[in-house]
Amino acid sequence: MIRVHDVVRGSSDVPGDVALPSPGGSPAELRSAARSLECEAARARSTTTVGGTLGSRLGAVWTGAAATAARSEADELGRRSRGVVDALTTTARSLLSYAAALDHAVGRTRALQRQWDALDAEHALAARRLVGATDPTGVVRVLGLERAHVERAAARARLSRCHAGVLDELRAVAKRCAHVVAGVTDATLPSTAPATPANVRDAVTGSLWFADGVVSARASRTAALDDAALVRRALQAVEAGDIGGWDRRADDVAIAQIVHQVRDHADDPVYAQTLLTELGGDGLSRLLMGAGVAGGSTTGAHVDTVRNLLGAFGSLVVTGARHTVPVGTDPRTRAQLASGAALLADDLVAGAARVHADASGRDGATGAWLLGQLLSGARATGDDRRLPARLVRRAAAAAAAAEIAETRDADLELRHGTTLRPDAEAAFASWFDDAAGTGDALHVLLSEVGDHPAEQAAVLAEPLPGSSSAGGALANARGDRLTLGEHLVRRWITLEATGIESHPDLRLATDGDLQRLLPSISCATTADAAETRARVMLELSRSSSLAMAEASTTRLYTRATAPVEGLVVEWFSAMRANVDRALVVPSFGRRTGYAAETGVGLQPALDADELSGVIAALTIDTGMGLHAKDPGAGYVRLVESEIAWAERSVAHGRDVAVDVARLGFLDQSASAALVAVAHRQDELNRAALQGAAEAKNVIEEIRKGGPVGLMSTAQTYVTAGTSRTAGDDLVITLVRSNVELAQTERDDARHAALVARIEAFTGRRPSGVRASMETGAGRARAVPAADALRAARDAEIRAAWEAYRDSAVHRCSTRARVVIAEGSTTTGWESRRPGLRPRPPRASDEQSPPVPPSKATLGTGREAE
Amino acid sequence: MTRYVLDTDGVTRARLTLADDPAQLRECASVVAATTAAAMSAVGPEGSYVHTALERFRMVHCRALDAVADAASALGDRLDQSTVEARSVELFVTTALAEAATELPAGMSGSSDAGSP
Repeated sequence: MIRVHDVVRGSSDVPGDVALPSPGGSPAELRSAARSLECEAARARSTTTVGGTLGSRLGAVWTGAAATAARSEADELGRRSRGVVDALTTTARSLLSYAAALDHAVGRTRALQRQWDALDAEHALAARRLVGATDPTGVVRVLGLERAHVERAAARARLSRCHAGVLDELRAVAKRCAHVVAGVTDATLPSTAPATPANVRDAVTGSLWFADGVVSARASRTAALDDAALVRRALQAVEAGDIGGWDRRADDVAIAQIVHQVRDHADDPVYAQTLLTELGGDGLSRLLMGAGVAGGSTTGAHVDTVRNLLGAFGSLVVTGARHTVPVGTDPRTRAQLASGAALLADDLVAGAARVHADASGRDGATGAWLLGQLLSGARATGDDRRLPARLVRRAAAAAAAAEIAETRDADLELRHGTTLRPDAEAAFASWFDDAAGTGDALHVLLSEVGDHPAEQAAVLAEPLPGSSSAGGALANARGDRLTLGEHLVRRWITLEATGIESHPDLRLATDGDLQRLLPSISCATTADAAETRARVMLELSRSSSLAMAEASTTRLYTRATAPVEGLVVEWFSAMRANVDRALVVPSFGRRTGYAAETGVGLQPALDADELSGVIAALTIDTGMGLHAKDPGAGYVRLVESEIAWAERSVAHGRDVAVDVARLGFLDQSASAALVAVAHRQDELNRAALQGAAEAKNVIEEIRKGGPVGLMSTAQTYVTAGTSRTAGDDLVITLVRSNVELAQTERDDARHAALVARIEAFTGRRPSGVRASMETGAGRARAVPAADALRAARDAEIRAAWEAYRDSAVHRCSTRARVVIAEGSTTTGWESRRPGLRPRPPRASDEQSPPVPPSKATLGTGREAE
Repeated sequence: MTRYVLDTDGVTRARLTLADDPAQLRECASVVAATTAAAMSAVGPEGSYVHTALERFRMVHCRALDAVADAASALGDRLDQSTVEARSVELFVTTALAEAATELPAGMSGSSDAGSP
């Protein structure tokens, strides 16, 4: 202003609004803004939150500790929000104050401007008067004008000072208003803190746990969305490449960046669920497959990269699937986390059977194996948080169904869930140590099961989900849906038996799983526990009967069944009442379901055939040697237990006939199982000898006739189906094993010993004991007596001999009909002396009548062993 | 029958009074932002102090009102959760009592039934 004054000092005509400009700004707009702020403040105060009326409303309808907490939270939020809203009112008042000051300053400035203009007008008038006045010398005019100039300058200076004062006063008011506004702002957020959204939220709603959760959840979601975009970009880069997989050097860096981002939020459930939802189950699988999880390692650095990736995302899956939420999580986020965990669990279970292939289509892996690797990775990084029990059960059942389906699909490359080849003698492939455990997805999931018996029992009772590929293989012995407990028993037999063929030292982790889980259902008398015991016993029975056909599984039984068999013996003894009912009503178990009430609670209910199968599984535990066998240790324990029970029955005066009948059933079932194995061994022995004879004949024909002989042999196969001669069959009949007879005789001896023991403590006559035992034995499968087997063997030899003789006669008739006719009337095996062993038929025998063997010369067939 | 200390209907009504609060407060924040911006341009060159103060006021209080709106929303959810939990407990207890009543022997189910045909 002084500058303006100086500029116009020499001027004679400067307008007042130029010389003394009005202050800027719009008081009207300021008042409008102030009114608007007041209105918004009033609107905010009308809300329940700011008004603070929620606490009193809640008090009327809710009492107790939870209500007190809710009221205090509502009151606290109201108190804090009122501070924010009050700042609007205070600011509005300040704006009004400033508007008023601005108005006043404008008015005063305009007044000064008018004075300025009036001063100029007065000066001009005075000048005109002096010019028009008579002044011959001109001195008066000059002095007058000079005085007018001085007076105007003095007046202008006074006006300028007034103008400056007005503006200074306005600035002072502005300063005061700004101080007030800054004060209320500082009350909301201290001036030392930058006004970032996080700082403001922390200052306004910080420590209100329900509000903090909303804020942190929002931040987590934002981070997850950013990282999901990062993963998608990496995947697009891989899939756009020509190699169909990660460029190890370049893309390991990308993986490392992803892993770094994910690790930073590994414990944040909101982040975990948001990222996994954004990627989807398919996206995560694509990431893993793209990283070469199913493609084998190329370098040590790549192995570390893949392990880190599996570990980071494994922890993320655990975080996302758990139902625990951080302290302070708001209710909405808590509810979202709960539903998110359920959806994630559904995705994991549904994807267990899905086979994921990499971009090249060469490598693949099932969802179950990938989940197992993720969990193994999480454990390898020290993450010991467990998955929810329900998810573990469902995922384990889904993995089991996928495993069964894998054995029935057309994909020969996939083995135990992946195309990644296992190392050395390991059955499973894994990126981590102890491939037998970490590569076995089912074992990894079962390792998540806690030690609580109820949790373990629920796992064993979990039914396997349906599978179009697995089909009928998901049915148990009764045709019902297979449960996880049954599958473990079946898997333990089938998978380990298959592996043991090529890897004798193979140890399936299922051994340990069964040992850990089965005790949980051993003592409970609930319906579920009894049903699980019944199912396990039935599956053991069925798998055992199938496994006995293979030498490898017999070896497996020899070394590994002890823990399971011991438990089954205990279960069998505890269900004694139901065994007795099954002996009376053959279809008892199938009619009543898997469990029936006994004096000691619910126990497994099996019918007589099923019980025989269980006893057979306990009986057969020795190898496949061509000799009669004793029952296994499990059966011996069972019999000893029953004898002890029968002794107590005698001591307490109870009717021991029921106990004796039960022992008869056990004895007969064991005999039937042992004889069945012996019979199968005889059949195998016969088949082996027949195969050797076929081979011998083929070699001889080729040696004698060359290509012509080979053609002749082929024609023989086409027409007769075999190249064996009647002589071959006779020899085989004579030398083949007869374990069945030996086993029957040993069973008879064992039976006699048992009868003697029972007689000893019951004091009953042998005929009475035998009669009671036969009552129970009648429910088990009948076996032929030793005499019947001997007679059958004689008949078999006789038939072979007659076939051989007829064959010889037919051959001789083509050469010398008369000689054969005479020989056939004068020779016969009935006329030969007993005690002579037959010599093996030779080719020359076809030229002369053979010497028939006798029953006495063959003995019982034990020599063949 | 047990009288519950939580009147779920009453709490639900109280929660409904919060229903519009988040929207109201967010709109309030929007208006405050626009209004303060207008005021900043209306203070003139002599009001530079006011301008500076209003600038920070605008940033802080708009965000503060948003935060209060979020908190109001979270508080409503918290009351919803309490109501749902209370209803679950009530349902659980009622079901348990019904099961217990069903399991009572016929003769113990009530004296009025004893003589009924």
